[in-house]
Amino acid sequence: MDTNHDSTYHDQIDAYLRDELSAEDRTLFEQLLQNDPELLKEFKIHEELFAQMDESAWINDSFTPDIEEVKEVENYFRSAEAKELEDTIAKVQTNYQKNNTSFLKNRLFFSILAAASVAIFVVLYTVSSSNSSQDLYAEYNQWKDLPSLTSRSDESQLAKGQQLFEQKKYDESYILFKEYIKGKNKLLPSVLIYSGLSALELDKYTEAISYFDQIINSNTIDQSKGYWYKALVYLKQDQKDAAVKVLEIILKDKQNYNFNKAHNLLKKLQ
Amino acid sequence: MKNNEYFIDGILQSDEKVITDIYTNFFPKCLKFVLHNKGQQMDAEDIFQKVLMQISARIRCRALKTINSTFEAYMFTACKNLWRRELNKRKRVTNTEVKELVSEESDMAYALLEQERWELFKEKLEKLSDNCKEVLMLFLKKVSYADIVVQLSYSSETVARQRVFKCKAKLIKNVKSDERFKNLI
Repeated sequence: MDTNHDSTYHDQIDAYLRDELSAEDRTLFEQLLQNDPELLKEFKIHEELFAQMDESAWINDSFTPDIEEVKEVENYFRSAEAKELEDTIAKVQTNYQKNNTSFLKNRLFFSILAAASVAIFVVLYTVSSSNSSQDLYAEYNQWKDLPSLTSRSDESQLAKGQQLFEQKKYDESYILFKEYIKGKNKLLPSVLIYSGLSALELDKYTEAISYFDQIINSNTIDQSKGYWYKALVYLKQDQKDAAVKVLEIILKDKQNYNFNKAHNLLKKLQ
Repeated sequence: MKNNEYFIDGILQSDEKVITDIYTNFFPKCLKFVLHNKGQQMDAEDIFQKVLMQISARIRCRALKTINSTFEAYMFTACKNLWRRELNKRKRVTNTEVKELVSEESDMAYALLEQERWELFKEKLEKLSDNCKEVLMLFLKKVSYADIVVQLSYSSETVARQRVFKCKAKLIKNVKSDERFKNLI
């Protein structure tokens, strides 16, 4: 490669990565990248350089490690030693939370649940290539990213409800949340999520949908969560068409809750 | 503050007391960073746990002997890098080059190797002459050439561009000639 060629390469790459190109030129450059492996190689190294200073960037698209090395490190993470460390960290994390805040008291429970759900997910993911709605539902009903209600220390009833929910005593949590909601006209989306999911787990679909519709109509930042859970209601009932319609609403805005998951789920349904 | 050996040995031995010390001393800063950057408490906890796992893995099956900076600085950088990695992962949806990852362990392995690679670039950047480092940092922060000329008192934009070109070529050459670079590509 002669120096001139090299220098032209660099100028274009620099301009692209420094956001100096017009929209039209960006597209042209991207097409060029697709067709020129040498340029692409140089480009990726530059991307890695820019990631040194740009805190919104990372190198996961520009750098592909050696697969043997990936395997080796992966095996370490699966080793007994690594698992022991993971457990110790989880334990410390639980105690740390207990001592520092009243927030998220059930860390250990959460970690076990999270670990279990990862395991279930992996199994489902590898075992089933064709998905029934019920199987898909089982992939998503781990309820591990739910907001905490225990931070509202004034509401011990809510904390109790969350606890019952986490212990999968859905009939009890359902009654408790229903009682709590009675006579209140302004509700937090997080409370509605627990109410709706309790109903969903008990197959009370109409009620579940009415709670999630309240979230959708709520004008809060959590508004889009309502769509996701509503889609799960339809999924559990095997109403694929209805689920697809709701998922399509989520995909209208990348900011929407579980945009990526909705995208994946939709692909599996179609 | 306790020394690096204390923390590293504690991690390698899954020592509950040491890990508690690590949490108390270093978690709040990581948490604050994640919360300020579109994350939740749970995200910070997840990231922090992975940083500790990563240190263990790097010593057990990679070339890392010890941590040369302060333990605090290392923890914070690793926390920031893992979190921006996570944000980037969430951001790209339809990218055709997305690696299909099925397990947590595999994802963590990629994260570790990416962190090593990032450190290689960082190390080479820091080894450049002060003049080169100065102009390259402005360039990488996307400061305009007009501003670079003013800030570093160059005589013209052409001079600034030439400096950038030379320094960048040197940096890339140094990265490429490092044996770790061959290892990792």
